[in-house]
This record gives sequence, C-alpha cells and structure tokens, in this order.
Amino acid sequence: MTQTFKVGHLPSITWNRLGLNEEPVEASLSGNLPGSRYLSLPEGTCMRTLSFEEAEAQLKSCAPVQEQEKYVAGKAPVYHPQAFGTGLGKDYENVLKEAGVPVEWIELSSTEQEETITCRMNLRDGESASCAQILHLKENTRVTAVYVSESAEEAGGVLALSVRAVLEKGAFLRLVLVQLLGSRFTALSDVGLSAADNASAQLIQVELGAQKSYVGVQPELIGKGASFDSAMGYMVTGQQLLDINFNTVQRGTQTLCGMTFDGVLNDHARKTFRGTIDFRNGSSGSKGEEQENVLLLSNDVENRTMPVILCEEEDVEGSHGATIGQLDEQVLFYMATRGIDAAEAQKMMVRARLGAVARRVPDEAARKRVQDYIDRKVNCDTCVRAAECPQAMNEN
Amino acid sequence: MAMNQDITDVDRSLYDFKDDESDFYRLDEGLTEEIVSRISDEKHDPAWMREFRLKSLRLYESIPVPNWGPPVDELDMDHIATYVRANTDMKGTWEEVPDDIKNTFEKLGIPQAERESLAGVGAQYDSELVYHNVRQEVADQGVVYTDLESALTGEYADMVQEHFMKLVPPTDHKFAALHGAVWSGGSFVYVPKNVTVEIPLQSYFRLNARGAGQFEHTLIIVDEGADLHFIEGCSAPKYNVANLHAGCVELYVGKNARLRYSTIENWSKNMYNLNTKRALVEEGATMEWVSGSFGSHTSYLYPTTILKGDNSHCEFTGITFAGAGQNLDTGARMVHLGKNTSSYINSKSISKSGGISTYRSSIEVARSASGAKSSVSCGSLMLDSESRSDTIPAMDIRTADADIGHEAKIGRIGDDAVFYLMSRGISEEEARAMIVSGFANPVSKELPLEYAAEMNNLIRLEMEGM
Repeated sequence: MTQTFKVGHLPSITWNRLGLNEEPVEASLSGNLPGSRYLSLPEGTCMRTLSFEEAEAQLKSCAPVQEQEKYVAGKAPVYHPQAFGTGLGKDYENVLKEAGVPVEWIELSSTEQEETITCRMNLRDGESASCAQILHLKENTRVTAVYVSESAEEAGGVLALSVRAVLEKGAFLRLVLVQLLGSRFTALSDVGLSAADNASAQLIQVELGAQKSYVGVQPELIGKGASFDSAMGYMVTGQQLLDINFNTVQRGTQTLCGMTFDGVLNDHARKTFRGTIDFRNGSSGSKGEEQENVLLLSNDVENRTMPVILCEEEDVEGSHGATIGQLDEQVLFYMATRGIDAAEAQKMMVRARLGAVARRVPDEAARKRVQDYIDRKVNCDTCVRAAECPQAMNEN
Repeated sequence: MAMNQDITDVDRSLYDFKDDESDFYRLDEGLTEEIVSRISDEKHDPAWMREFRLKSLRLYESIPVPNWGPPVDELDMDHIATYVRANTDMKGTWEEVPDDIKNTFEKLGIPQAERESLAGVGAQYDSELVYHNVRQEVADQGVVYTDLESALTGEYADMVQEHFMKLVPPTDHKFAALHGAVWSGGSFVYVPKNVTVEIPLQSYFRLNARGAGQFEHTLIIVDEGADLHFIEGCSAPKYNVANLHAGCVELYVGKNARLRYSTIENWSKNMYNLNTKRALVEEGATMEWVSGSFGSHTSYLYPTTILKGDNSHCEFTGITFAGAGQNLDTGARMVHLGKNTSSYINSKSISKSGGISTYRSSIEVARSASGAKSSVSCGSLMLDSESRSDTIPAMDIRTADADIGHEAKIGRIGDDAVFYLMSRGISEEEARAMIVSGFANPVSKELPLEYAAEMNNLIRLEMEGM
C-alpha cells in the first residue's frame, strides 16, 4: 500500500508558497529487511531485534531527554516533536512503526581500538525494504559505522533507512552513509543522534542514486563540549529529486557544529536543502557553522536552499553561507589557457567537488564504488555535455 | 522626525504624548460590510473602489491568518476602529492646521524638516491626511505629490485605477485584503520622465487614536529616467490596547529610473505593524530600500522587489531593533525575472531584554533571469540570553546562469571591544551603545543626516540601562 506522508519539517516554518516547510512523500514502505544484506559487527557486540515500540521504550531509558522549544521565530512551533528527534521527523517514524519495521539495537562498549560496523544493502529491482538500527555507544567507545545501499543501475523500489545513535560521555561515532541506488528507487535516510559530554559525531554522506531521495539528520548536542561535524556530497541529475533536512540542536555549553554540503545539479534535477543550527538557551560558548556550495550545470535545474540559524543564547557564534551558481569564469579561463575546454573543465570540477567527500569514506570498497559511480554520472550522455554547458553556450 | 540631535536630551515623551480625540469622528469598532460601506461613503469613492472594498472584505473573511510568523491571536478586529477622522480636512499650510494637531507634528519636527530639507510633506493623522504640500519649484517640474483620495477622482484617476493594488492584490494575504477593504489616506506621487527631484519628499503617519487602525496607501510612479527619494516616518503614543497598522506601499520604477524609499518606523509598542511594501522595477532601473524598524509590538515587514526589466537592480539596507515585549519579523524578498538583474541585501538585527527579532527573506531567480546576481549579508547581535534572534532565509534558483551568495552571522558584543573602550575612559554602558551604533552604521550612513541622528537616538534610547 502506498503511504503518503511529510518529511523534513523546518523547525521554523516560513512562507507556504515557497513549498519549503516540509516535503511530501509517496512510497510503499515494508517492514522487510533487504533480501541481500551483509552486516558485520565488532566481535562480541550485543545485538537485539526489537519492535519499534520496544525500541522506543528502551531508547527512553538510556537517552537523555530532548527538550522541545516553546517558541521558534516568535511563535509556538507547529511541527510535531519527537521523543528522540530525527531529521525526517515524526511522520516518517509513524510510517515505520505502522509498517512493523523491526529495530536492531546494537550496544557497543569501549575497547582499546576503534571498531567498525558495516552494513551493505544490495536491493533487487522491485524490492521494498527497511533497515532500522539504534547504536548505543557506551562511555568513550569509538565506532565507525558504514551503511552502503546499492542496486542495479536501472532498478526501482524503496529503501527506508533509520539510524539512531546514543553517544554517552566521550564516545565517538563516525557515521558513513553512501546511497548508490538505481534510477527508479525511492530512498529515505533518517538519522537522529544524541551526544553527551565531550561525545562527538562525524557524518560523511554521499548521495548519488535513486530517483527520489529524502535525507534527514538531527544531532542533539546535549552535553558540555559535544560536537557534530558533517560533510555531504551529492550529484543530482536527470529527473532526480533530493530533499535534505539537517537540524542541529545545540543545548550543552561549548558545543561545536560544522556542516558542509557540496553538490552538483544537472538536467532537470530538483534539490531542496534545509539546514538549521539551533542554539538553545544554555548553550553558552557554543559555535555553529554551515556552508553549502552548489554547482549548477543546466538551466532546467531547481535549487532551493534554506540555511537557518535559531538562537536564544547570547554567548554563541553562529554563521552560515551559501554559494550557488556556475563555475567561476576565472577557473574556466585558467583551464582554457591549459587547453581544457569548458565541458571538460566542468567534469574535472565535478569530480574534484564530490571526490573531496568521497575520499573521506573510510571503507575502501565503498570508496571505490562511489568513485566509479561519480565517473559514470559525469561521463554519461545525459550529464555534463558541452552542448548544454551554459558557459559553453555563452562562448558560442 | 526628531530634530533634537543632542542624544542625551531625548526621552520617550517625544513619541508618547496623546491628543484629546473627543470631537473626532470615529466609526464603530469591528469589521462588517456596513462599516466598509460607510468608509466608502465618507471618502466619496468611485463605484469601482466601493466594489473593490467589498470584494476585499469577502477575501479577508476567507483567507486564514498566516501559520508562520509572530502570533497575532491578540489582535481582535472586533475591537479595532478602522476609521477615525480628526476635526479637520486636509490643509495646504501649517497655519491652517488645528493647533493641537499642528503641535503634534511640531513636536515630531515635521514642519521644521520641511523648511530645511524636504521637497514636500504629507502628514496623516489617524485615518486622514491633515496636511499636504509640495514646493512650487518641484510642482513646476511636473511632479505630482498629493493625497491618494484626490488623485482617485482628479486628473490622475485613470493612472491610479490602473495601478492601485495591482502589485499587492488583496488576494495576496489576509492583511492585504484587510487593507483593500478599509484603506484610507496615504499619498500619490508621480515623477514625470527624466525629472530628478533633488531633495526628498516625506510622508509622516501619526496614529493618535486608542484601539484604532491606520491603513494608508502609498502609490508612487517614477517614470522613465526619473529620480526620487521618498521618506516615510511613523509613530504613535502607547496604549494598553492593541492598535493596528496595515498600510500598503506600491512602487513602480520606470525604465532607467531610480527610487530610494527610506523608512524609520517607530510605532508604539502596542502596535501590530502588518505592512506590505512592493516595488516593480523596469529595465535598467534601480530600487533602493532603507529601512529601520524600532517600534511595534509585532511586525511583519518584508519589502518585496520584482526585478522585471533586464539589467534592473535593487539594494535593501535594513536594521531591526527588538526590545522588551517586541516580536519583530522583518526582512526582504527579491524576485529576479529579467536578464542580468542584481540584488543586494544588507540586514542587521539587534535583540535585547527579551525582544524577538526574526530575519526572513527569499531570493527567487526565475528561469528567465539568466545572468542574475544576488548577494545577502545578514548580521544579528544578541545582547542578552532572554532575547531571541532567528534567521530564516530562502533561496530558490532556477537557472544555472546565476551567481548567488549568502552569508549570515550571529553573535554578541565582544568582551575585547568593550574592554578596549573602557580602557579609554568610556563607561561600559556607553561602550556597548557605541558598539551597537557601529553595528547599525551601514544603515544609518544610507540615511540623510537628520534621520541618521534620529535612528542613533532611538538606538541610544533602547540601550539605556543595559
């Protein structure tokens, strides 16, 4: 059955006519795990499979309480708060619950070395699958968790991913999300994090595949000195749609947040980015930064960007920036003096922009597949073409 | 406008005095078809305008209150008088204006400013203009500056009908519909082709009546190659009931023309300021907004510029200062339609003593707007942790041939800067006020000197006791 719901709610809604307050989704979610899944856990790791309700109760017992804001932009927030916030939000959580998606509870304790979780999902054409996990990192535990979703190039289906993580004092989580699904897939990827004193989370995310992709991330920096650092790369081409909602809540003192987003849009691609830094009362000494850089390669793209800062604390430093446009003319001129035409220069710059994020993927096999996917997208007929390169047209 | 430039001498009584209104004509509170018809009767509207008002009223009833922005739940239209007229008609000299009203504008410095630095003045008191005048040499250039009601039935009637609420249709939002139903007062300006008005025109809006609304409409048409600076000021005494301002400003900037529209808004802190301002800019023309928002209990204010013509340009420079009990939601909107259009937004906001300041904007670049450039710079200053400052910008870009940049920063007054000034013998309070004035400098330097001084006075007033 097809479910209709909304994801990626802005905590501070704005003019409805812009269509940016949330994104409607139509998808048929199932509670089945991917038919082909490789899951590797550190030796001795305790993993239990729970119902969504059981997992919520368990989460409530170990995660710090997430306080909701009374006012946002001068009025009571209109979105529905969650007990444990995630980027895609309450509606998505409800849909997973109704679909009977099991939740894998993975408890990780401190060892001398950094441990790795690998979850590779290879979906077949027509498959609808879900994967929901909660990572509980005990004090001072260091973990890298890599999630790679793939399918055949032309395949279609649905993948609903949910990763929630509770980071106790001093814990470190490097979360790597790579989405390389086929061109008819709908992908939903939802992340919620809570970080206690001096805990830190790092997110490396690459979004290249699927026809429609919805990404949500909500880190709650609750403890003193907690931090969140993210780097996301995306390339959206053809008729692809990408909707991104990041909402970092900084509640503890001296918390740090740094988010960068580097993307490329071509053909008839549509992309929406909402990025919120939310300084709550009590977050004195905190800093938050976000930056989005978008390269536009076609006159038919739609790029929507919303970098938001909410602030109810005096002693903070927040900044956001966005640059949206074509390649800089000076770069093109420099390339031309080296005998590289505009179309080839664009390909190089796309590779460079996405490669900078791809190189941070720690899993060598996943990194290779990302590089290959980027090369395929850059070189395919419908991607960067001299005839459609606006600057090439200008030169003619 | 306050002409007292000695900032230490300013006190709030400058804006807070009230006149007796016992002999004023005041329609019943509330919003009904009968009241709207009576306003239409009072103003001797042409038939089309009467029909327009009633249609707008029906729209008002059907359009919901915005679900975004500050709350307006406490604004009860059943307790707002939409039309209050003082016991005078519009005069052409200050001597003819009744003493109490004239004294009000004297205290605000309007006649003095007119003598010294303005090409013409319109002064509105509650729902109607009480004074309107333009210098003879400016009138001789063919410049028309009059009240909108006169324009509606006079020589420029067709021009008014062609442009009135076409940029801001009553379907736009609930308070635009309200304005369409009950508008009263305001100015009409027409600057003919290639005419440069060397010194500014100014309209000043004073709302004296308790529990009343002011709904003036400003319509300015700057023809091809012409140049105008228009200044708008407003104030009101404070009451313990809600007052409402739902004005509307429509600006048409012709080919290669330039219009600067400056506003110092200092409504009282019981005022709901739900104002709509919009400009349509033709080929090669320039629109400049300079906006200072200091007053009001609640504000929704986002001057919108439609860059329709190729090579048209807009700059917005604004500052918002939200103090105790204030919830000011301000910003700007730029719509790029023509080729090689450019826009620049420089916005500053300050929050203190529990005030809420929200910067809200959108940059919209249509597919047709190849070569568009836009740059947004937004700074917010938090003076304490009881206050709140939010920045909610949006960008919607639909052509690759665009160059869009956005940057925003939020923070507090640096201890180092305060320490440095204190080490030079300046008190902490003075040092903080100086830093805030410096923060506001990009806006004040865009204003004529006396208005910049008034803005600095307002900042100083707000900073007292910090």
